[in-house]
Amino acid sequence: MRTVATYSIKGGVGKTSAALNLAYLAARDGQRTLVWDLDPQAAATFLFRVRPRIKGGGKALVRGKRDIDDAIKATDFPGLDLLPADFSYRHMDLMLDDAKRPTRQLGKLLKPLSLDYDLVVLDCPPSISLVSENVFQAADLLLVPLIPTTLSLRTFDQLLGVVAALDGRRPDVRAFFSMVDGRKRLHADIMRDLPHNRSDILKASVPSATDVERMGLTRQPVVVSNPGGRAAQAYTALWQECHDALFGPGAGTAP
Amino acid sequence: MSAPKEFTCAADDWARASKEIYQRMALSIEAEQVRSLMFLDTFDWRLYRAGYVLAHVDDTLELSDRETGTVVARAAAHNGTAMNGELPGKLRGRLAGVLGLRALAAVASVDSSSVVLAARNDDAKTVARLVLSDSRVDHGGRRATLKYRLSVVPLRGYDRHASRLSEELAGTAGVEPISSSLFEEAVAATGRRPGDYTSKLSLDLNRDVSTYDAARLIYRTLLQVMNANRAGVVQELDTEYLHDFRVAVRRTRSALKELAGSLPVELENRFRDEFRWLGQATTPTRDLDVCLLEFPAFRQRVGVSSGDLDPLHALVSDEKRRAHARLRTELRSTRYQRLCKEWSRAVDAEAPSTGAGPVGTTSIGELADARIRRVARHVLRDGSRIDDASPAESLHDLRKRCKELRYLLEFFSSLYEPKLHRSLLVELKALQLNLGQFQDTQVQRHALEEYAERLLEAKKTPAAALLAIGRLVAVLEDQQRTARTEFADRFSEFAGAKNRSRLSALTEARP
Repeated sequence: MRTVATYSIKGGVGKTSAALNLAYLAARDGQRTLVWDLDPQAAATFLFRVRPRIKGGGKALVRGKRDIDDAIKATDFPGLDLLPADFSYRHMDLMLDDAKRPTRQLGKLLKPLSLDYDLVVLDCPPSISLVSENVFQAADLLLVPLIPTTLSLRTFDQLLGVVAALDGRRPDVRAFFSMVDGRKRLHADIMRDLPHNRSDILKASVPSATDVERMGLTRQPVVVSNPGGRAAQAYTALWQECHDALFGPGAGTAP
Repeated sequence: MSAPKEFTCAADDWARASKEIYQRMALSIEAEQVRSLMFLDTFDWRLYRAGYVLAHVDDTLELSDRETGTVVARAAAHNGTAMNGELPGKLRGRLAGVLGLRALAAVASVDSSSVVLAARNDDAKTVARLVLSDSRVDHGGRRATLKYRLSVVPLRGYDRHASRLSEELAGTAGVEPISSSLFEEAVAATGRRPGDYTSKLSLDLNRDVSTYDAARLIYRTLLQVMNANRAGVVQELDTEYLHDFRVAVRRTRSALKELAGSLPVELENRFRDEFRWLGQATTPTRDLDVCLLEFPAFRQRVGVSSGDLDPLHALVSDEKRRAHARLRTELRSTRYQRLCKEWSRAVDAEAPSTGAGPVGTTSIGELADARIRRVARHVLRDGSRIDDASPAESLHDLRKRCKELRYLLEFFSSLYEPKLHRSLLVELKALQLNLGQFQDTQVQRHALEEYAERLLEAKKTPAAALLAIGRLVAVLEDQQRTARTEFADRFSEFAGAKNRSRLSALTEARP
């Protein structure tokens, strides 16, 4: 089982859209996939039409009083399940802090799922906190959406520094450009001037597109609602790169 | 108990029941599909026995739990990949231990037209599905129509909704639960039954049956094994078809020797010769199969430059192709066809073409005791005569005796106390394993020396290839010496007081 987390310190940069579309594409390729919506705002949960509620709240889950298995819900898509968000996740830092090894707790909770799933996608809340530290420890791949601005690149470099300083297990950190607006000169300049040897920034970039914004209405990944659109093609290319980073190039499941 | 998930209804009720269910349960049509699916398993049903069902659906291979129907692994598959034994990485890793040397083959091909109906909640979220399907099985050019099927597909976290759907179905006129899965029904339509073949011999005898009847049951069962495996041997689907075929021939030859006199003597003599011929016809291919199967281990043993063994591999593969072509010819020959036809007539249960032989009226219990005692006595006598100076042939002869004893114990397992029988078999197998290691390394060494000569004559062989064979021969010599050293311990365990008393208790007399 491999784990990918869509993560950013900032909100509204396309984390949830990426998480949903990549998870759908992974499941379509045959990976048994679970999305864990860690964000108390529950956007991923809403988009999958699942009720954002965990019996006993996040506390019961984190403390192991409620079996993680029982909280999982199937989505409408074959091979794709969801561990829904709960409003109590806003206190997740405190819940984790009470645990024995507070930075390893999420990884520990995910471990028993390795028989049921090939891929876990963590959709993270925008913050840098104990939850993020847990995500860094649990993920194999940390996927960071970047709006092409100077500041966001600077923040990404800071994040690389934070991850490099971690003890023990460190995720592979890759960014991709998100919400790219072809009409904005700044976006084009930033992407053009990026040093070519930066392997930590993926080639695929996701455009700022109406169909991504409409996901709130269609409540479907864009690769389902508008499979021929630019955004769907971008997510498909992005998934291919993530697949290779997670499973190795040519590992066989992506057609 | 969980509610049934699979239902059926008669053809006459199908249209009415489908419409009623659709309207009453407020379902929505999610998809209409026409699908072809192929169920795959090994010839001896290894996936089924391990609790799996593997289906090739469109471009995907789906491995499901046989009991729950839950998909446990899914992988993209291009046409024919599974059939060529090239499972996609993820499935290969998971199933390697289950499949062993066996290849996958299609066990049933199904064409289905189905309608997927979704039960949705207030958020328009799908909470359960109902699949209505009408399927046909294509088998040898004939098409069999399967029962109409209504399958409730529960979704994780929404079990309650699936149960409600099942209850509603159970209450619909003309709809009733069906206990067999689509896999089982499709396989049945091809005339087979999951688990209908195993390489293990399982005969149900009792002590009072005449030797004549018991022998015919044994011969018939072994002939069925040969017939079942013949096509796989000819088509070379995997190496185990030939293995099982050969074991059945050897068992038949062993029975012809140990149960001599059960059938008329002339008939036995004739078929003894015929089965010797058949056994010999299969030997070259099998020896080469074993050699090729050993190659990964050979490569490991000679160390780093394992490519040095490639010329040897090419030579052995070539030999194997030729040997197999000869075997194929033998198995298609008139001689083979006549053997099968006449042997089948001789051992037929209902209308045998022959009467009983001189010992045909003896009870099988009595004869089995006597034969097991005699062969065990020979094993103990021959084994005790082997010392460090004995030639390799004496170990080879002892191995043959052990096989005879093993076959007798297997033919007559139903006549003996199971625990005692099992303990004896365990001890015997340990001794056979040691003798097998000794003999196999002996055969392989000689074969390698012969191949090295031929490669040398070919003149184009690089020196590194010959040196690698030399290293391999040295490793095999070393292994053979180890097996020889271990023989004394293995044999003294088999010949120990504990095992001797097991042997006497089994047949109620000291061997």
